[in-house]
Amino acid sequence: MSALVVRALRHITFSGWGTAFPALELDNEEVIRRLPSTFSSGRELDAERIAFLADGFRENSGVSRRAWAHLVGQPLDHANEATSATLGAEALRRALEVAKLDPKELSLVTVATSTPHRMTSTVSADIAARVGADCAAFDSRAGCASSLLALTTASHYVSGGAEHVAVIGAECFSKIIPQDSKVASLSLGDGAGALIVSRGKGSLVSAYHRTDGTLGKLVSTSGALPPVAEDIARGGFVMSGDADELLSAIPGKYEEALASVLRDAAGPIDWYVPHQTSIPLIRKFASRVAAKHAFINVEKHANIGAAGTIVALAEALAAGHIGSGTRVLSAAVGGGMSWGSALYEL
Amino acid sequence: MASPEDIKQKVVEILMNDFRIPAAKITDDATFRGNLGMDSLDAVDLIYLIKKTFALKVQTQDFRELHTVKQVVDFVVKQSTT
Repeated sequence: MSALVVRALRHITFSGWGTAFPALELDNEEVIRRLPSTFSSGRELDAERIAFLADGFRENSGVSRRAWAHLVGQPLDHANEATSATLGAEALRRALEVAKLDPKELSLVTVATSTPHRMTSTVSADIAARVGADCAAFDSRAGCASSLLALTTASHYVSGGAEHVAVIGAECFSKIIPQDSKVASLSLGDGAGALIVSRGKGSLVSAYHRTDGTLGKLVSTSGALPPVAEDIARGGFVMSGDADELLSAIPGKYEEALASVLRDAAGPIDWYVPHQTSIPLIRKFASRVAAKHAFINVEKHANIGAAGTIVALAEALAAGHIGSGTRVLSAAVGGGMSWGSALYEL
Repeated sequence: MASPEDIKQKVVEILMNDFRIPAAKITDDATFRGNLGMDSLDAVDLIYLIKKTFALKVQTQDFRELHTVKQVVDFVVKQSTT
């Protein structure tokens, strides 16, 4: 095993934060009501059964609602639906306002996403152009864990002398949810978060990143690029995989990633602000790392992939939960399979 | 009061009619998530249908450790006789 381990990157702080979500917000009942054919009977579900299913999903995962750029099961409308680029740009504009920065002051825009709006060029280039930044830009692709990988990368640049780097997580999962998957429909949401990483008095105490590409099939879009009609018709450009095997693999990856940074963590963890997939999983590892607090927002956003950790950190910063002097631990596991963790002392 | 055989037959009918699972796959030891291909929301749906069909006054979490057809049938039989 040869993971990427990073320690003691100094002179880092979060000076700005922002989030953006599509206008269409659906609760669990609305998602289930729109997807009756995905239930095996194919019969119309009565209100009592829909309510029971909605409550059952919420009890298992903690998720109550999510925002979508696209209504799953309907034809895509690329001209009018939000994209990872438009959501990411909106989140970045808000983060720049909080940081009181002109976009021209950014040295780098990096975007974590699994749902780019085109094969090339990059989402980060599009976002930089939309907000008027004139700097370096590149995308970070490591599934849900790319958020932390992008943060670690940004921290390197800032620790090395860059003044301000924008880290964005943006997803539009609604466009690649298979319409026959009710669990994916309920589990996944869209949105974007942005953080401005600037020179400051904090540090990245420790970070850990690892990928095992032999597990990539557990969650992926299987079609080859550029798309061909046969691949589109067989569902090659919507998500597929082995949900049960993925779920059974995830806890061990969190254990591994968290164990690495905890070896470097001399002192208490004030906040555990991880990738958001389910409340039981978040609480389990918050307890494991003896965090004083766990930040949870999955109930209102569902799993927003590479945006999840960035949105959680942005909301925790906006709420004043984390700030100067706070020790913040984050972790993420996702497609690839990729996993990682990071401990910041702000 | 329904007999254990009647209860099992009704459970099998739910699995066949509401989840389109072929009768041949529905054995006593068949697991819902593994052998019968049900997902986590199917499991919630099955709990709803079992509670409704047999008018059970039980909590959803009472089903948490029931993974096979036989375990569910035995649970319903027990609840129906208490």
